[in-house]
Amino acid sequence: MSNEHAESVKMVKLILKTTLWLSIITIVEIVAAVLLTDLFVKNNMLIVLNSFYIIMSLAKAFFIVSVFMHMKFEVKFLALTVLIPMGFLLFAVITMLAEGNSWLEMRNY
Amino acid sequence: MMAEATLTTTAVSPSRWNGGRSPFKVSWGKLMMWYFLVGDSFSFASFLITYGALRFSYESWPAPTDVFSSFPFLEGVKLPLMFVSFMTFTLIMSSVTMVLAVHYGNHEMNRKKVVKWLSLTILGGIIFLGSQAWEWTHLIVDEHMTLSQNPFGAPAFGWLFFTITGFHGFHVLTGVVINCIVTAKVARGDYDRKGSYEMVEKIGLYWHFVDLVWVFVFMAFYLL
Repeated sequence: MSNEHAESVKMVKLILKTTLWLSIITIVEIVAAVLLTDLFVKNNMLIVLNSFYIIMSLAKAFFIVSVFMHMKFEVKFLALTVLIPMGFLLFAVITMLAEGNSWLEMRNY
Repeated sequence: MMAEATLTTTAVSPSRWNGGRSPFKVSWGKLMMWYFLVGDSFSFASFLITYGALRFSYESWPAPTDVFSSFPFLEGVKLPLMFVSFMTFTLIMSSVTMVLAVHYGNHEMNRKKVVKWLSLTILGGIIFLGSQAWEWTHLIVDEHMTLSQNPFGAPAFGWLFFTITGFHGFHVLTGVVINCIVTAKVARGDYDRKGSYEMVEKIGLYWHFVDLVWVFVFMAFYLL
């Protein structure tokens, strides 16, 4: 019983630690968006800031799925059947952004 | 005789795939919730990818710090992204209260604690929906943003903003309704009688998914 209790306390600690990380990342993102956007636009380096947002959002997604949704504690095959289909989205993102870019060229033509 | 033979076979070849038990060690309901979420993430992804394609097709795009700079009760004050930060934190916190409800249900079967944390989750969902209602009202009434035009730039911006945040808000709304039903069932003692709080875990998965989608909606509309 006490062993189970210790495990429960450990899990709650992990949950709170994850919450802290999610909050820190979100605060850093917002501070960057409010204070640094102009600076990066001026130096033509907005892509750096945007890559930062995308990587941080993926990190947040990882924390939510692995800890909050307990994926970390599921059988690995279950995780794979959920995650592998997401690979198709990478294809869709690349294709559709390239397509959007060519619409821009057609608009300007 | 037959049963004995089966037992021996299992002992010799202990593969998870020989039948008789769940290879993924989860119930049918939980597995199907996961696969529903896979499907739902494709709906959201198609929305967000459309957003990306249309955004790439415009020379310029409305700057989030200009569009989202109002705060309730503070007219005329420019506070870029502050209100949406509040909304984001509300949703993260409601996800935390939900994971605690799931935890106390699975580990302790503690009815009082589960009801407490689920109620806080519902409260967080209602605050988020109220905030979104204010944000929409502000954009429609004060800024005259519609589906086809807006004062900020690219005409597609309004259509994309209302459909995507609307689809997400509808998920939050259904989540709140389902949470209310399950909270009532917990309070009535349904899951104590059943001996399992797994239903709380299943709606928890849905609720976290809504938070997960918000991470990307937030990124697309308010950061990038």
